Formats: sequence, C-alpha cells, structure tokens
Amino acid sequence: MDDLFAPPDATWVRVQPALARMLRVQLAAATAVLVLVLVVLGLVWSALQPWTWLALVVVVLLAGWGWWLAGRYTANWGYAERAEDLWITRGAVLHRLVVVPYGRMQLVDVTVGPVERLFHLAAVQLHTASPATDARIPGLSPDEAARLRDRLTQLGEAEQSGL
Amino acid sequence: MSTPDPHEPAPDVGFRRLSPLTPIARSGIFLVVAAYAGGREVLQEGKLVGLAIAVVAVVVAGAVFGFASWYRTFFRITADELRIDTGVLSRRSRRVRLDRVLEVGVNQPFVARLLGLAELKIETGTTESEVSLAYLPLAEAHEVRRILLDHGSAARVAEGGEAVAHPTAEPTPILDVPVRWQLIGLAASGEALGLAVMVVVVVVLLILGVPFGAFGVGFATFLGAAASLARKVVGWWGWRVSATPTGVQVRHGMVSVSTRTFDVRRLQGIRITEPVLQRPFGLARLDLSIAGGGIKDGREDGSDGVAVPVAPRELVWRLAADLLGADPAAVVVTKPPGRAHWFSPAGATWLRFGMDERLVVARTGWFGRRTDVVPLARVQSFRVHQGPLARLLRVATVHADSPVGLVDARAHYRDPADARQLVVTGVERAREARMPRGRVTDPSADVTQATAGPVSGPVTPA
Repeated sequence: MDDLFAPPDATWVRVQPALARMLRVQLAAATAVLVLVLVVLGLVWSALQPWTWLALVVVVLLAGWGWWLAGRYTANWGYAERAEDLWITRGAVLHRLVVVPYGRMQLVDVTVGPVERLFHLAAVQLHTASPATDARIPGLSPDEAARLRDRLTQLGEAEQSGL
Repeated sequence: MSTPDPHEPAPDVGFRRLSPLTPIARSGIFLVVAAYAGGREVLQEGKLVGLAIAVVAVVVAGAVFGFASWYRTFFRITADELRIDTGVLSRRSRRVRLDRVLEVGVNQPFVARLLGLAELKIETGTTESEVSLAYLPLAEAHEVRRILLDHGSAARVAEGGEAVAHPTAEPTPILDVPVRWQLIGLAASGEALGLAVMVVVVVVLLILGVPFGAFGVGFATFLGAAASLARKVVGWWGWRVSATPTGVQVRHGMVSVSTRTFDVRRLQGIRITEPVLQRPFGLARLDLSIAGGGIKDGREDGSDGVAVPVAPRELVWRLAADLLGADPAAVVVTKPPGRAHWFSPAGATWLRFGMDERLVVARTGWFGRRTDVVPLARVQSFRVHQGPLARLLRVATVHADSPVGLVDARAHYRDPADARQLVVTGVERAREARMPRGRVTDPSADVTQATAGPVSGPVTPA
C-alpha cells in the first residue's frame, strides 16, 4: 500500500476479521460441493480419469488462491469518518478509494444477510445520486453498523445540498 | 407579471373541460384526407354507394369517439399540481408537480389555428413524459400558461427555491443553427461518408459490367443510410436555442416541432464533442446532462439531451461557459505521464484533466475530441481505481462521479501522487463550491445571471 491509498488522517478503521472467516467458510463449502460433484462424475464414468484429477487440482488451487484473497480483501477494507466526508478504501487485486461528502448522501442502507447473521456481521451501503459511487462497508459488527448509519444519516441531513 | 405572493391562496378553479371544438381540430387532417380520397373516387369512378357509405361510417365512428374522448377529459389546476383525467373506458389520471414545470409552450397547428385553438405543451425537463393539453381557445391557453408558470414559481419559492424574476416571460432566442452548418455537419458525418463510399463502389461495379440486380442487399443498406440522413435534416430543421426564465429551451423540427426545456439550475454536466470529420470545419456539438427529478431505485435519475447538434466550436464553448456560469476553456488541464502510453498507446497523447475552483474538465479523443465538464458543486463522489498492472506502472485513474448520464469526467493514468492530490483538492473545492454561504462560487446562483445577461442577445455566426 502506497501513499495513494493512505488514510486521510491517522489510520483506517478496519473491518472485522470475521469477514474473512465468513468468506472462507463460504469458499470451503463451494469447493467441497465442486469436489464432490467431480468425484461422483468421475466414478460414474467407471473410474477417476486424468481430466478428473486435473479438474480437482485446478479447483483446489483456485480455492487456495481464494483463501489468500479473502484475507487480503478483509485486511485492505477500511474507512475513515471525517468532519465532512467519509473515505473508504478496499480491494485485494483492484485497489480502490472513494470519498463521499456527507452532503451528497441520498440514503444509507444497513443489510444483514442470513450468512452474515451467523457471523454477527452487517454491511453499510451509501447511495448518492450517482450509481458509480461505490461506497459499501461490509464486515461491521451490527452495533457499529447501526452507529455508522445513525451518524451518517444525521450528518447527511445537516449538510444536505440539492442536486 | 411578477412573482405572485406565495401566501395568496391559489384559486381552485375546479375541473375544467377542453374546447368543445377539440374533436374537430384533432381529426382535421384525417377528415380532409377522407374527404379527398372519397371525393376523388366518386368523381372518377361514379361509384357512389359503397365508398360513400364507408367514408360516412368511418367519419361518424371517428366523431363519436372524438366526442366521447373530449367529454371524458378534465383538467384541474391547484396550488401545487396540474391534474389531467382522460380515457373513455379505462380512466387515466396524470398529475404534474407545478414546481417542476419549466416552460409551457403554446402551439397552434394548422387546423387548430383556423378554429382559433391552441395546444399547451407542459415541459418538466424529463424526456419520457410529455404532457399536453389540446385544445383550448387561444386566450384561455395563454391564461392557463400564466397560471401554471406563476403557481410553479410560487411553489418553488415555498419549497425554499429561488424566485424567478419573470416566470411567464417568453423565451428569448440565443442561438439559431443555420441550415448551412447543419448540412456541413451532416455531410461530414459517418453516415454520409458511408453513403458516398457505397455510391462510388456501385458506380464502379456498374461500369465494370456487374448487373444492377446484384446489389439487392446493398441497396437496402443504402436506403437505410439515406433515410437516416433525411430524418436528421427534417428533425434538426430550424434548430433554435432560447433562454427561458428557468433554463434553456431547444426547439427544432420541420414537420412536427419538438420543444424541450433544460432546467439549468439542475445542470449536472456538459459534453462537447468534436467529431473527426467535423473538426476540419471547426464544428462541435453540445450535450447537457440534467437531474431528471424522477426517483428511480432510490436515487434521482438523470436525463441527457442535445442542446446544439452542430455549431462553430467557439459558439459552443461560449454557450457552455454561459450555462455553467464559468468558462471551461479557462481551466488549466494537464497530461498524464508518458507511462500512460503503455495503456493507451495512441490515445494517451490526447488525455487531459484539470480543475479550478468551479469546474472539473476532462478531455479524451484521438481524432475526434470529447470534453466532459462537471461543476465541482455537483460532484457526487471522488474515486480512485488502480489495478495490478497500473500499480506496476505506478499510475491510477481518478473519477469525479456525476448522476446517471453521459457525462463522465475521469483522469486516466495519472501519477499516484498527482491522483492523490486531485482527490484531496477535489473534495476540498467541491465542499467550498457547495457551500450556500459561498453564493459567489455557487454555479446555481450565476446561471440566472448568465441566462439573463451575456447570452440574452441573439448570437449570430461570424
């Protein structure tokens, strides 16, 4: 990480490590299903043939890469609340930085999916009038998500300026 | 007429009908055609019975439907909305928020003019829903136009908007696109070039003795390209840009005149395009991106529109500067570093990006030029993207996001330190530009001056 993605002030607030755990469990589940399907298919064709082994190796390699990515993805995700705007950085491969002024926020969503609930995680998403604004923070504790939503909504109303 | 007192209760005029002559005005052309067709047949053939009955039946059916449709149409104007109920069998009720009404046009097609009627076209700045009241007696049409614009202005003031000095003033022309420019613009278009190439190929092949029948498919393509060109000539005919109290109005068309008013206070960005073939003639095109006012998926939608299809570059830039309230040509733009050529070997030479206190300006284009300008006060967010390859070459791309629309201001392949600086200063300047206390630096404040001041006189070609 170079200066381009440095925090605006002191440090980034990082997301919960549970996000990486959640992604890895999902990845492991998907890999297990794929491996099972491959093995069953291979056995149906009388024996495990070379292509089955090849496919298995590819799947396992991809899973390994995904495992590593999940860690980087979680570690690189961060946000910083400033007086007038919110900074978010993210990305394991494609690095991104987005700055959203509070006065530009049109609405703030908090979402908790069924899997996220198991890991006690929640995501906050900011919407502006531009669909290109890509301001999402996953992997927050539900309390932090609620606090962030309330604070952002409050600041948004205080600073709101029309289109 | 000045701005009415917002506290004055709006006279609730109740539901009204359109002019009872409406069915005749609406079916006018149809009647003439039917009479002509029937009459000619009768005169030539002497076959009176069959055709005359058919014509009478059609006319009677049309008259009954026209009358029913008129009888079932009502409109009502209250302090904040216009409501129009229509439909003979299934009823439809449309409501137009008066604070979103930008301009009300009074049109008189031929038959309506004979009957002393006029049609009202109510423009709200969105493309998909054109609202019209047809037909009203001319005097009443002008009266309704005045009421709609006055109430709209009052409703805007009540919502904290700025008062419009003369809401009912007629548009003043600021730019007419002469046929000469249009023809040059069309001749220097891709379609025209394709057409010319096709003609040459066909002529050469005919000379070489290829039978004409061999061009079946090619001929259809030829017709298609020719039709597209003809449509543009007819559609762009008499293109006029006018300043209205609330924005900029564009009128054009030979057969049917279409009108569109852009609410300049809601301007999100502009794009100036200089196509390859038109650059030698110094011609350019101006598109505007306006916040639409409709809500889609929880965000306000945008809408784009052509303000000037083709005009000399200087006029286009001047009009752009007037609309933006600041001159985009005065913004200092810089190039990306030489490493950018790894990503865009040819195009990188022409990439420019820059910003001052008011505007973000981004330019791209190898042969044809494209300049996107976004007022800093309208930028929704700033983003930086850097992929693995860009990281290796130490470049990054900065985006200044605007609402849905064609305008796309981005700084491609900048040095990371430069990119970081752009984001930091961009955020800072955007905040200052948005400040209500910094009225002087708020484009929305200047637009009224701009439309009333420097551009109010007709701009004539040099």
